[in-house]
This record gives sequence, structure tokens and C-alpha cells, in this order.
Amino acid sequence: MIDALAAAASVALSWGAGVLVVRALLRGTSDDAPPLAIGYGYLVGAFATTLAMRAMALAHVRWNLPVLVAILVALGALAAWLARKRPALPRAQSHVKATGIERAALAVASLLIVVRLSGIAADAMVSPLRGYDVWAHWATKTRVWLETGTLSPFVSAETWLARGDPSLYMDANPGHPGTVPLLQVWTGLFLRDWSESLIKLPWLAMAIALACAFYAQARLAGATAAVAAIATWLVMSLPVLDGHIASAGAADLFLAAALGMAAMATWRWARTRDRRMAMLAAIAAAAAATIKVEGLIWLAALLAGVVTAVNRRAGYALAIVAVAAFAGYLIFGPEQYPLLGYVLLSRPVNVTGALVDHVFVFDNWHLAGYVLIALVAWRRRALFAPALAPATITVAAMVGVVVVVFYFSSAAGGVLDETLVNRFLLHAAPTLAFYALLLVVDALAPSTANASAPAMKPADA
Amino acid sequence: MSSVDAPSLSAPRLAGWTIVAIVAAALVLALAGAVALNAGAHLRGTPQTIAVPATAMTIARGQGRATDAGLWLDAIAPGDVGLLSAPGLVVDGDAYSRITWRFGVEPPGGVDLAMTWGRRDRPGTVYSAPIDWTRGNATIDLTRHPDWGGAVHGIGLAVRGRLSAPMLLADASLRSNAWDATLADIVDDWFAGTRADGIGVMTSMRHEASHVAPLLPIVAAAIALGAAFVVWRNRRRRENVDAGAIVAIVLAGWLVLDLRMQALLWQQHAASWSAFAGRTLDEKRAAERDAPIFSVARRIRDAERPRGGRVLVLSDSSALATRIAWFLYPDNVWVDMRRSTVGPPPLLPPEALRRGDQVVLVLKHGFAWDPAGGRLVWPDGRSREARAILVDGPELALLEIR
Repeated sequence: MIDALAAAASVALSWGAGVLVVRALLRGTSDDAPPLAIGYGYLVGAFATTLAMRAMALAHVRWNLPVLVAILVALGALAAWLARKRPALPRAQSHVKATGIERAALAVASLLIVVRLSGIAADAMVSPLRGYDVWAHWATKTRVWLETGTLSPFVSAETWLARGDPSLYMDANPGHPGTVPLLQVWTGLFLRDWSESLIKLPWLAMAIALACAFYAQARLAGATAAVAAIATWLVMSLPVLDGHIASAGAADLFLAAALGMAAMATWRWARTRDRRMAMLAAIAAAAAATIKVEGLIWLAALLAGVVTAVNRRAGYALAIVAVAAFAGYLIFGPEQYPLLGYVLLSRPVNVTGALVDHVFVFDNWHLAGYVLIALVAWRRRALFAPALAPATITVAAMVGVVVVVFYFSSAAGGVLDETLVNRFLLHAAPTLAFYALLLVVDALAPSTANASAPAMKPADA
Repeated sequence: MSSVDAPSLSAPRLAGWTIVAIVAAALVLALAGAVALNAGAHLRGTPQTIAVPATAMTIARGQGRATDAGLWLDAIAPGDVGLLSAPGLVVDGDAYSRITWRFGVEPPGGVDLAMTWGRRDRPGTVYSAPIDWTRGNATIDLTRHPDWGGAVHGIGLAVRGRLSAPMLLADASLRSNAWDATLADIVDDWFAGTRADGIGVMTSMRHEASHVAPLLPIVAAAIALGAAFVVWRNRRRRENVDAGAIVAIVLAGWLVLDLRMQALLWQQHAASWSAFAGRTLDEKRAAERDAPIFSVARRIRDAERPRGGRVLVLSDSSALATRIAWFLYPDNVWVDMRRSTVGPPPLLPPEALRRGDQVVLVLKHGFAWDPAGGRLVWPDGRSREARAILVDGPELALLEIR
């Protein structure tokens, strides 16, 4: 029980500091809302925690719980002080009263989310670490770093043998970034003994944070409370996402959440042009980049949306150039080209069967694949309207990333043997879900969407 | 929240009970369609299942033995195929086309399974079909296989690949493809969950590949039917399309899927609590599906050996070595993850080992512990002086390099 409370304290400390930082960042803006601060707060706080741990390791100081706690408390206190200096905007009152059906929908959706996460939490908090990647790629680092108290280097099997240095360690994937293992170490520092169950708590926290951030951004995008809650339930009910919360230990959920939060904040910035929302997006993007190497690939897709938000024609030109460059590689490039841990192939591998099975036949994503296609078809005339173009280009780039990685890279093997297909799609799932929500909200409230769309330059109009 | 609320989501014009009725009717129709697509000609299957006990089976190829528990297949000659068959069985293939091979002890990973059979009307020809199997019982649906039908005889289970451990076949069963049995199978599949390893549903719904008719496409078809009905009804009455009703139908379909998932998840949560709650970490590991691996790793971990040194885990199975290594962290563990573009990585060179290194040999072909000479011997005859910390036959040794 003591250890459970200690683990909860580790998460609460990061989360609290993060919430204060986000509130300080958004205070005085129209986006200053508690669910948003709670949602983004955990990501920001967890990321800050790992930065503090990295800084100590860089300074050759062994991790020390009181020092790390003091750093986070100081960060929170500084953020609270900064927030106090900025006046809060008065809260706008809702113009539309919720109907009985909407209130019922809100209650049912919230209940479904709570029931789902409760069950998963109960499971995760008693079971040991499970799944090959979890104990072969990630927790290996956690276990060693918790023991050595610093970022002991992990190297390849060849280097380990050749160097013979007892301070070098190895595992099945020494190239993975350290953010996720560091979060496990952080919780582990609070515990009396190694616990494979309690170090999963950050996954549950991130799931709750994602739900809060999604709901808050949905509200900011113009959804009613009921629509936002239903959309949040739809996201949190995705079986693969739930699977990654429950079998906590791999980085994919964190990447999905960080990428989703970065995309949601970027698209919000594209509408409001509030630099502080852009900063929040940048922090989430930076976190995504340090969670997994694939984060960099996905962020390239997000960058296309940013360029489109700044100048639509430039965004479209960038998209055309990217497509042309890839076509050029297919025609003139080498058969194989190593890139970011993958090997690009100039000849496609047919993975359509596995992809269709996992998206449209097996219940990995409920109806998400069908619904997304239906929504895009329904809203096809509005996809490149000023309010939606940045998000549409981002999503188009993400689809391009999936096509290239699945059909034209060494990862095709992972799609065919089904070890990669859902894991990779999970990274994009919250982002795609929010895009689907934007399509609905934009259709329901065209006047609202247009009102909040940025003033476009004459060249963009 | 400080946002400007959008206009309220337009409520469906149809009454709630009408939408529920549409969804229910559409689901029934979609399910009926799935049954029609997957069932044979008979409405009722009598009997619904034909059981084939192991006593009716023989080991046609490979080495093994018959016991009360079933047929043990112990070994297969390299490059050969093991075959367990029921030569005397004759069934109506048109009526019985879903076959399940039930194991007492599952085949080890890395083997491929296939179904074989003959037909009375085509004597002398043996047909086969691969079974999509990773673990658990092996099932195959041959309803649409072009060569399955008529009087089928001599069904068999072929085992290809390296049988690194014996397997026990308990029995086989042939399931009727009549409409009533097909409907029962479809619904049973949906709620059967997955293997009892406590993580199946949570990682992927891959197991639905063995379902007669997975739920998702049926719900999607039902939603399409329901939405089409609403559009047709609106057009017939010259009304605008009731978008709210269509949204409600989609959400109802999603809810059906989600409630099924909740049911499966809670089965797993209950299994996890039963297996792990209130136990120590070692007890939890011992309750896992791969507990035998942990028991080996535990002996290595707890052996009286110097701490703080390097530990090299060598095994022919990299998955086995990786799993054992995990139980040894935070020791400085090495598993052979060297990458080679041409074939397997080269032998671990003896000179790469340092004095004090600990070497674990688990099911490692070629390497041997020479107790008389006190040496670890490589397959090519090279050797290093070593001390035995733990030795249990030729399959397990923990040595310290001197």
C-alpha cells in the first residue's frame, strides 16, 4: 500500500508541476481551461521530469529523489508565480443549454470511459510487465538505470563484445530514446523495491491526460460538452489504445498521446494564431521526438500542417514536392536506402491484406477506419477550406507516412507478420480521431469555424 | 470552458425506440447474411460435432507414442514432416467443414501446422491446407476450400519445422456447418475471448482470424443497412435526410462493439486478478504462461555466483535467451543480437570472453561443458578454462570463465 501511494505521488508530482506550467503558459488567453491544463500538464510535467534526470546524468550526479523532487517543486512554484502575474480572462458562458439527450450522452460517455480505464488500471496494477518489446527493448534500460542511478549507456551486441567495458550494457534495441524508461525510473525511485506493476502507473496517467486534452481541445474547437465527451469516449474505447495502456511498458502510447497533443495544439494555433498555444504544441512535439525515433517521422507530417497554416500555397507546394521527391526515389533511387532505422525500398511490398484485416475486419479499432473514410467522403468539398487545410495536409502527410513505411520500407515485414501494423497506426490514432472530430464540428458550426479561422493573406484566399 | 458553443447536435427526428429497432433489425439481418455466407446446405446439424479421440489416430510419420492423454509426437527427422492421422474416419465433408485439433501440450513455437485429408471420390490424392496457428488449439475452416467435400477420409495433422519439444495431441473434432451450428459458432466466437495468457485481447484482435464471422464487419454492415433504411425512408417521404438518426445508428453500432470489448476485457481483468493480485513478483512470474522459462532463469539468478560481472546468455533460441536475460537484469547481460546480412552471426569468439565473465548455456547446440578438463568447449574445438556454477545435464549450464 505504501508503495502504491509512493507510485501515485511520483505521478502526481510530475503532473502537478506540469499543470502549473501549462496554466502559466495559457493564463490570460481564451484557451486557459482546467481540462486542457490537466491533459497537457501530465505530458509537460513528465517531459520536464525526464529533462531534469537527463541534466543530472549529464552533470555526472547520481539521481537523488530529494533533489529531483525539489526541482519539480521549484518548477511548479515558479510557474504558479508567473501565472499569478497574468490576469485571467473572464469565463465565457455557454450560449446553448444542453438538452436532456445531450446530458444523458455526456453521462454515458463519461461512465464508459471511467469503467474502461478502471478495469485496465486494476489489471495493469497487479500484472507483471508483459510483451516482448516491453521487457526486451524498454524496461531493460529502466532496470539498469534504476540500479546504477544514471543513464548508463546501452550499446549494440557487437560494441558490447568489442569494447569489453563493464559499464556498457546491451539489450534488444539500444537505440531507443530514454524518455519512457526514465519515467519508469522516476516512479521506481519512489518505491522500496522493484515493482513491475507499479512502474506502469505513468501509462494510466498518460491515458487520463490524453482523454482530458482531447476533450478540452474538442471544446475549444467548438464541440458541445456532449459531442466532446462522446468523441473522447470513441477515442478511449479504441481496443489497441486500451491494449497499450494495459500492457504498459512500450513507448507507443506515449508517442501517440504526445503526437496527438502536438497536432491538436498546432491546429488550435492555426485557427487562433496565439503564440502560447504554439509553444504548447512545440513542447508536445519535442516530447514526441524524444519518445521514439518514429516521432521524428510523424513530426515531419505535422510540419507540413504548420507550413500550410502559415501559407496555404506553400503547404500545398510542399506536399507536391514531397510526393514528387518520393516518386523520383522510386524511379531513380537505389533499391534500398537506410533512413531513421528503416530501410526504404523502391519496390512495394503488398501488405494490403494484413492492413485491411487489422483495420476493417478484426476489431482492433472498432469502426474508426470506416467512420474516418465516411467523414472524409462526406466533407470532401470542405477539406481544403482555410479552417481545415492545415489539419487536412497534416493528415494527408500522415497517410503518406503510413503508405511509405508499410509498403515501401523494411517495416513491411512487421506489417505482414502483424507485429507492427497496429502499433504504428496507434501513433497516429488520436491525431486522426481529432481530425475526424474537426470535420464533424466544422460541418455542424460553419459560422463558428469560419469565425475562428485565421485571417488569410490575399495570396492564400 | 471559454469556447463558443456550436449549435446543438441536431437530435434525430426518429424516436429513440425506432432507432433501437432499426439497429436491432439491421444487426439481425447482417448476422443472417453472415450465417448464409458461411453455412452449408443443412439447416440443422445432427450431430453438431463429430469427436475424433486420440485412440482413433495414429502417428503416420515422426517418432512418438500413444498414451491415455493422447498422442505424443516427440521428434521429426530433419527436413521431414510429422503426421498424426485418423485413417479410419470417414465423414461427409459437405456437412462438416470446421476442424479443431486440441492439444494437451501445444507444439513449440516455430513449427507450421497443416491439415491433410483424402476423398473417396478421388482415391490416391492427399490434399492439404495450412493452418493459421500461433498458439492454443489449431482450428481451420474448410467450408470454402475447393478440395474439401464429399466423403472425406483419413484426416491428419501435419507438423513441419523443428520440433524442439514434444507435443501432445489430445483429440480432434469436426464441426457441422449447418445453419444452427454456424450461428452458434459465430456468436460463441465473439465472446470466447482469447488464449488464457491474460494479454491476448489487450494487444490485438488477431485471434479473430479464426472466427467464422468476425463481429466488426457484421456491425459495419448493419450500420450501412440501418443508414440506408433511414435515407430510403426519408426520400420516400420527401424529407431531408435525418443525419441525427444516422449518427445515432453509428454510435449504437460502436456501442455494441465496445460492450463486447468490455466483456472480453473484464474476463481478462478477472483472470489477471486471480493470477497476480497479492503475490510477490516472483510468484507473478511463476504464474505467467512461460513460467518454465522463469524457473530456469530463477535458478541462474539465485545461484551462488559473483555479482556485478558480465553474464552472456547463449541459446539456439534468441527468444528464449532474451526472456532469460530479462529475468537476470540489472546484471550486465549479453544476448546474441548481432546482425548478419549473410546467415546467422559468427560464433562467439572465445577471446571475446574475459576472466570473470559468466556464461549461461541453455539449449545451446555445439557448446559443451567439459567437467573433466574444466573447460567450456566451442563447436569447433576451441575452449576456455571455466568453473561450473550450475550444471543440469547438457541443456543447462552456468559457467564462470577463468
